[in-house]
Amino acid sequence: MGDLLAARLQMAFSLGFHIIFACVGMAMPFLMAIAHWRYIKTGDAVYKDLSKAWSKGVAIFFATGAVSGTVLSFELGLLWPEFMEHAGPIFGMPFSLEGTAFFIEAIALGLFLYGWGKIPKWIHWSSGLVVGISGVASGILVVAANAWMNSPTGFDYDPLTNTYSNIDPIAAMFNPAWFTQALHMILAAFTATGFAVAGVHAFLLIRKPANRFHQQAMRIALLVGGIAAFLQPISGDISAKDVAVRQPAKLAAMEAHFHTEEYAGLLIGGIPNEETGEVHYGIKIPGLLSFLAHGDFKQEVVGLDQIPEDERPPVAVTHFAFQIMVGAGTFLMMVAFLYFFAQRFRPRWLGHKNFLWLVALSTPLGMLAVEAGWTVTEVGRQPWIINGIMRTKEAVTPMPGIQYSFYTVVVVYTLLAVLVSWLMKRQVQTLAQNYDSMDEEIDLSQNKANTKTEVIEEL
Amino acid sequence: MFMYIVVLSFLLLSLLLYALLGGADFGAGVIQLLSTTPKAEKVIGRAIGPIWEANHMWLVIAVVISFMGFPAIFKVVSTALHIPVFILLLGIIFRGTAYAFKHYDAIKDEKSQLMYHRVFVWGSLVSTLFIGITFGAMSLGKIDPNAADFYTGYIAPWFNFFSISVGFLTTALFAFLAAVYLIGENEDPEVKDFFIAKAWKWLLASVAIGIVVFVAAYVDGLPLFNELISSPLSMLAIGFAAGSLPLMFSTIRKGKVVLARLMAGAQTVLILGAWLLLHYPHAIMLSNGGSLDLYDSRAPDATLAVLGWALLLGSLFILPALGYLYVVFKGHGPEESI
Repeated sequence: MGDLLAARLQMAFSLGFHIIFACVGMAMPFLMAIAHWRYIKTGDAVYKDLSKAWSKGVAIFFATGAVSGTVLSFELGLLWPEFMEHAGPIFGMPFSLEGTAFFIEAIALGLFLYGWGKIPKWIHWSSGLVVGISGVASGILVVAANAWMNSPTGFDYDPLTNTYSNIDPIAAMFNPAWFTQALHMILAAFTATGFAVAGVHAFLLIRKPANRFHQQAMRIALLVGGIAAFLQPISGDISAKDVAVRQPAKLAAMEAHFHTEEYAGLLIGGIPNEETGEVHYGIKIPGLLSFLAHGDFKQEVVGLDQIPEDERPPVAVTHFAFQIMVGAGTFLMMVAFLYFFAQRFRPRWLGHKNFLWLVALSTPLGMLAVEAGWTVTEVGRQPWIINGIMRTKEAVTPMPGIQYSFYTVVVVYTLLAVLVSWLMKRQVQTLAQNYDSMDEEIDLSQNKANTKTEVIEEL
Repeated sequence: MFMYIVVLSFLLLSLLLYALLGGADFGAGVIQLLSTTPKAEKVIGRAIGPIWEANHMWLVIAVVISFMGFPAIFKVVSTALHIPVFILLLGIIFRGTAYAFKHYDAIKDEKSQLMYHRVFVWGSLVSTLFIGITFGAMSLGKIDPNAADFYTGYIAPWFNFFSISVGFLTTALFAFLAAVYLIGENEDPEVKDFFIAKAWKWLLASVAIGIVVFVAAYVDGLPLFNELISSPLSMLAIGFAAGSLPLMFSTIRKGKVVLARLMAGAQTVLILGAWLLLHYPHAIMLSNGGSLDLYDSRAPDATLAVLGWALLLGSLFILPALGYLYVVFKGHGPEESI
């Protein structure tokens, strides 16, 4: 394995690992705060227990996210020293603010976890909320830095002397892609976490359908994940139009769009052949790509044939990842639709085994979409590390033997992933003995009346 | 120039706070390396539980200030010292997760608790050792950015007597700090005596390894002693650190909690301060006798200006919140970890 490939894989693996913990760290505190809010308002012990049980999950995910994030901040230099030397002073601004956000998140989490009965209840509740808010702020800032790599601004570059001048870190932070990318990422985090949490509780409900703890848990999680899933296509559309203008090569790779044409069709499925520039087994909807990219069915969409050969991103990986992202996202949006519909008009469906299975099977789909989406934006930017300015191969560390650190990272993170899953299993196993309200069951024949009132409360 | 000083001050402040706070967390793992008791383990868990995440943010802040404010230095450290930094990261991953898993594992069975404990303790040792090795290597002067072969480029800079002895000095100092902090975390005389004994041993170890560092410097061709003599401020700092040792010994023996903490903190500040003063304005010594200097490696003015403001504004948020956290939890730790 070459050092460049090893470095790219190590970065991808580290980010792919961290992103899951980052998503949970952003969205789960809000679930926890909603449950806590309801406890304060109603005095219902189920919500208190739910908030506590979730906060332990947050603690485990936060700790793992914190160390994997620390690792990433070093890896930027360990793997891409040339990039960091030039880019650090330009795009470092959001990272320096993120330090503050992360700090506040850590402090607020300490207060929330250990503050039960020690600090006034509203300060306690606020600390939980602050964990979420600062988590989201961190997410926005980190994505803004990544967006700069896609749409570098805030400096002048002289290719002849390879110098960066007139640096403006604020302009770099507010680069043209920061908003679309951050919006898409935050919604993805809420969708993925909401469905992952709801899925776990749905799975447990299959065995104990009348358990109130899991019922309330699934509803809060589906409410949050569902709303985000509904908003995501709007954000996706904004992103697509943005990418079409700024990074036509990325859009062409996402769509395996080899030939520049008017009335360009939207490709669904298909196996692209990068050698011949053909796509097999796909379905093409005429004109739709032109419309989605430029808001006009006949508008020309730039194909890979207009991109110099040495500036084309890998097509197959980008295209497959894009398909997986859109497919998983669409599926979750339909589940969310079914949930909201059932909650309003058919409350009984919510306790039905088929619905619970549907939610349970959705558990990994949001995270899968997040990973796939991240792959689209990173692989789709290749061969550039700073779009149009610096190539990834120019940025890589001169140290040989990077494959060994890559293998190490794979082994360590795989071990951690197994351990975290095992710990989550143990959390679930012991719910009944740690929380009295876990034993509360509701009379299923009353289900309809109960849920009706809750619908009103929730909406 | 003003913002350069602000940014540099924050870099030094975050390194210092990382040593004083994060260092003590690492040290709490290290002191359990040779022996521990269930009671002591409990006290340690309670003492660092609510604040340990916050303590480790100082490292992230220091890294961000380095790559944004002093990019050339960040580049050289992450290239030439790639291997020790990578091992340090492995230590941080293992100890951080093991610590969290130990406390939030829903089932506290002996077997898995012991596993977490071992990983935490050994991870702490690896982390402190390689923090020290990295810093030692930065000042030794064996870093060669144009090295032709792997050994000279990536091994020789840090795999030497001096850097490794600085690694052990860091370990001993952090362990000493932790033991002193922990004396006052509990009223139980048995636990108090346990930490007093640990503080003694690690203080002695720090002094002994401190002497070894000077020998190692001589062996590896670093004129540390001569440099020290020619820098009056560093001499003063080291003199204070050494001169306060008898007082330190007696305060620990008498179990004077607050004074011992202050003195142990001051010791660390003095040693770190002496080292920084000795090297200022050099950040990294190179094998050709040259150096990378802080001022010359600084980012453009526009970057330093916004970074300085970000840090100043950030501390307006961080410091009060951190203060509140300590007020709530220090002195009367939570009865039980949830």
